[in-house]
Amino acid sequence: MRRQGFVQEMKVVNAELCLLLTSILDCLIPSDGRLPGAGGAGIVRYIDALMAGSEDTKQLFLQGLYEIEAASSELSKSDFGSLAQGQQVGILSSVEANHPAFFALLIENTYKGYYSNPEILRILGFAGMLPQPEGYSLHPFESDMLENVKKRGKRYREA
Amino acid sequence: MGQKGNIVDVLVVGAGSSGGAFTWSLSEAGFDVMCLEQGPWMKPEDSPSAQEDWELRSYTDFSLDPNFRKLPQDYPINNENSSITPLMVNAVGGSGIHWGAHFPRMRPSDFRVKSLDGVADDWPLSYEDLEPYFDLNDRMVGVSGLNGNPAYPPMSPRQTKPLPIGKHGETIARGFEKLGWHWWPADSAINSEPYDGRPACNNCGPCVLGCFNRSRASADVMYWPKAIDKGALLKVNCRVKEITVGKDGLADGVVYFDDTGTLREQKARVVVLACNGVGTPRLLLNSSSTLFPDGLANGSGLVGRNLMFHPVGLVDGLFEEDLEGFKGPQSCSITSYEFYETYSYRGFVRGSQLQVNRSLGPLHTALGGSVGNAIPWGSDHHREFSDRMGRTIRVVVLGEDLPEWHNRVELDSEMTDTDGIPSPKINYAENQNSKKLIKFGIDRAIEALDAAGAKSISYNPSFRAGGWHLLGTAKMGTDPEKSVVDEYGACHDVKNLFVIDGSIFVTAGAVNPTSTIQALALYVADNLKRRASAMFGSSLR
Repeated sequence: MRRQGFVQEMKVVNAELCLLLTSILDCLIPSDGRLPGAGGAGIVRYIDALMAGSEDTKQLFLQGLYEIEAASSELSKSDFGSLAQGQQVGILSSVEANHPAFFALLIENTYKGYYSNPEILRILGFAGMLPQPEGYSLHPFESDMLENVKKRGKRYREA
Repeated sequence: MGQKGNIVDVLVVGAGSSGGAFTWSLSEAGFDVMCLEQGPWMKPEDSPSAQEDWELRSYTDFSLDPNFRKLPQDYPINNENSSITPLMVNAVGGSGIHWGAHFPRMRPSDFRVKSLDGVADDWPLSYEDLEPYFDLNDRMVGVSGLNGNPAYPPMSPRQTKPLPIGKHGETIARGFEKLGWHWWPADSAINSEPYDGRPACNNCGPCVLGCFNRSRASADVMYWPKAIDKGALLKVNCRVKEITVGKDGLADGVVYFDDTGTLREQKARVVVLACNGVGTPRLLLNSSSTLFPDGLANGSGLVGRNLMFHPVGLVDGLFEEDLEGFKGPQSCSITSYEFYETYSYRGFVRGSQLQVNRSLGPLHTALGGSVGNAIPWGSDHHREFSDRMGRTIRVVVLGEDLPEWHNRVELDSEMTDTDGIPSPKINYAENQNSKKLIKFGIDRAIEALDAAGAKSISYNPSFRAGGWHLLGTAKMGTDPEKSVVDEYGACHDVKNLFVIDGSIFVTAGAVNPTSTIQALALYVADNLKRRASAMFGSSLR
């Protein structure tokens, strides 16, 4: 039910694409036990918004995703999500080499979605660590570090 | 034509760093000054740095590149023929809104490159001529730093102590020390202690997202409140279309689109351009008329020519230890001037500044910053991320650009802003001298990072999205055939039209230019005050 509701909020991504994208994202940034994979972190929603924002981007993504799906059925007559991790990595590596524009955009936006996700930032230790309003404390500059620089003398040219 | 307003003494176009300083200076002396700014006021407390999507915002509405932001106040720029993309902000405070606030002065030799090194031209004024204005501007801005820097002649006292450099700055300082090279904590337009009613910096990091707590002295929080207090009138969201000229060939005002999009006229006795090195030539070229068919004040043909950026190489060193590099103002740490001056055996003239930058937030770390080495996808991703986060030191090799006739801002034949005003088109390529100079600087930065203990080093020899500094397109000089403005900032061809932004730079030096831009604006303002009644009669105070 929850997944269906999730998909209904999407603008471009349908249920089938959602499953595919989730598997791809989980392969790009897998879970390590502490951090969720990118597929589980709602990044599909981020990619969906991106595709909805530009027809060119949407076409580039749909083509790239089609290539991944086509390579999966060629390899084992099954969908990408059902492949073993090694097979998934192999397919993505080959798409990375053969469709660099799509893949670079996919990586860029996977990272943008992942590293701006409040839950991920919390687990990484950046929660509540917005730059402001707290800022950070640093020890004052220690000017005795400059003794040798001063001894070495003038470093400008008279004009 | 729209409504006519009253005649003002002085009309300033652009409310950025130079426009703010200039308007304050004249307002304080009792002049009647109006400023038209195409952007809005931005509230410091709305800075993304207090919001959850803070890092992402630097790619969208807080990008430095107007072509990415596409805000109503921005004009698109055709930069297809430029190896560096010009960056700017259109708002009160100008590009100071996104400013790293590294605040070095240009150095004495920067004003005399023809005499010393046989290239480009000397400035018609010297470091000593500008020194009183550097001092005045420093007192207004409140510069944090440390006196005694051997890279400069003795200087007036810095207003607040140096900003902390943290474990991050100390690590690279030890690298410079091992090599016996110059380094010094940066002069910064950021309070390290409370100054002038604004608080000390709390080391949040991304100054580029706007300064939430006003510790950075961008013109919107420093010069403008003071200028307005002295009676200056600042009208925002008003985009100037062209400068108008009377039958006598003098500027007599501007026409502009007001905040409702209505075309209006504003008459003035003196017009002053403070629109940056791209906006100023754009406006002059858009102000052609029967008297000035090739653009206003363009008898020399040099309006828009000699565009200089600072070519930039970026060198990132990765360290084993957690340096907490994301703490502290990103662009202000330490700087080395060891390789700034000309040494002929290096095979190029002039030199570079090695400016240490702090490291990046999680998203920029994952994307590999600007050196393009994103963290790999796949099973090693998380380990690589934690190996890098807070552990990189960036050395920015900021090189001197030399003016070249063919590097220029012109008008695009098709592209316009939302008011239909033609956009600028940039034609720019780095020359061989710049390429050699940056290569040399990168090799030195690698040595320094290596000496500091970096475990790996990556670099970008030609950073395209680095056009922070827009200089040279309305060059200053005494010869009307070889310059656009005279030694007092007045256009040779139109004596009551002044330029006060980075356009008037004769050469670029290899330092961040805002300190020099503001000192020049104050110098032009003082000379205008002195000469006003002789030039424009007693009607102008």
